[in-house]
Amino acid sequence: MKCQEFEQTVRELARHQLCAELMEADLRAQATAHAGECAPCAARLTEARGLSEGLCALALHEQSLGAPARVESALLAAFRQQNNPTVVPLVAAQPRQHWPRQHWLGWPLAAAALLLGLFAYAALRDTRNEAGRQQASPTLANSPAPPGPMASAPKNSEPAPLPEHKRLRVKTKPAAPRYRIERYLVESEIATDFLPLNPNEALPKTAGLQTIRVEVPRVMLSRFGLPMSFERAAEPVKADLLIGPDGQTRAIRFVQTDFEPPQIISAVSVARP
Amino acid sequence: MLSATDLDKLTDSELWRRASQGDEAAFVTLYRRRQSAVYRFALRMSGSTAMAEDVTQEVFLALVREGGRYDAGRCSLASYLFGIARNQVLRRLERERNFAPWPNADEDHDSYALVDAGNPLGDLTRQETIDAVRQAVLALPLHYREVVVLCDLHELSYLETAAALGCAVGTVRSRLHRARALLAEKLRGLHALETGAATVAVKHEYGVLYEVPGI
Repeated sequence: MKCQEFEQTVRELARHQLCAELMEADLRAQATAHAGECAPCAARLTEARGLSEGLCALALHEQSLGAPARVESALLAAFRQQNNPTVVPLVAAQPRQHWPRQHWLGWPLAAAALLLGLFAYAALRDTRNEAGRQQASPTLANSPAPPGPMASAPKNSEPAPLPEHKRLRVKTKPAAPRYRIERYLVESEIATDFLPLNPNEALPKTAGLQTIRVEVPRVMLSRFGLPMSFERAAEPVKADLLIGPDGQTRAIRFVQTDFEPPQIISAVSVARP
Repeated sequence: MLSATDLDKLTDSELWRRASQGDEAAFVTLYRRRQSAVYRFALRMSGSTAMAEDVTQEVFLALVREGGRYDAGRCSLASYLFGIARNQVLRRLERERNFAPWPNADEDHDSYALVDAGNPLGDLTRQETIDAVRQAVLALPLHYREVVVLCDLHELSYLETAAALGCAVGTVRSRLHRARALLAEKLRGLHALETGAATVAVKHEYGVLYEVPGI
């Protein structure tokens, strides 16, 4: 046997000498004979034996180690469920959940994403409210100021808009919620609720009712307690009249359109009954 | 229904065949026969008892749920289980790459002082030396570690190891040879670190096999 061949069998020989591991008799005899003749290979065998001794000692030392009993319980539950799916296991056979070391950022990231989504939603909602307010304001505040003592009067009785940095945090509401501006399918048009002309009379059902678009004097806004721009007092304001089956006007809602030129419908007059 | 004694006499494959037909006692016998080896394999590969416990559970859970994949004609059940365990360990180690693979790194090295300076690997029977070997095994690269654990610690044959690892027998042989050389080198390095020895070298007619400078 040559040294190279010996190198390939030295582990087996060492383990055979240590723990009587099976080894081909012929090969063992040749390797043993070579180790007796070659000093470096004898040293190599000694070293391999030392290493194998250490590994055997480690294996022996840990021989009694095993999984704790809870693993067997969990597996038994899984086995029973597998063979009888109607049985609900009392112990879930899932691996113990350790705190994931690399995924510890997951929860904060999820929370941050959620907060971001909420902020985005709030901002979008605020932007829409702001757009609605801006659509409502031209009728009330954007007309040129007429000369005279009324010029110093407040342009708009609506509450002042909140500072930009507060809009995301504060849910904006009208200071005096006596009316509600609604958005309709037509993007350029907003309107109030229908306001009954007779406060003691409930709004009629929709059956047999008609709606007529008219223009009424702006002072009508103040008669229904709505804010009114004194600078534009001379300008009419659009309104929808709710006409009952008997032809009587039952309710009115005020409409603001931004892009349509004012249409004058002079034939209809509105008065409280 | 066989008694526990009769079940103990059955081979792994027979036990698994009975267990796959719903025989709970056969499954328990098989589990108790093989769980320790799987647990120790995972422990030696990872150095973590928690991971070893998880891996053991996952291995047998996979056997319960996907045991139909096992082909007794291809390899032993032990190799099959080691193969699942190996995949589980590698997956978890990859996921937790920061996991400390050197659990006793804080220990001092007093234990190596008693190693014979002339033959640093010769006296490997003490507890301290066992710890040193354990550390050295854990410090091996994974593909070397697994062959040392399976061949030298679990005493699997080359063929069984190759079946567990899904590679050729020749690959197992060459890896084991290189792994043992690395292991000896690490142990010698630890010894040199402890004793402050000068260069430790073993010369062979094919050149210097190991040479670790002392400190």
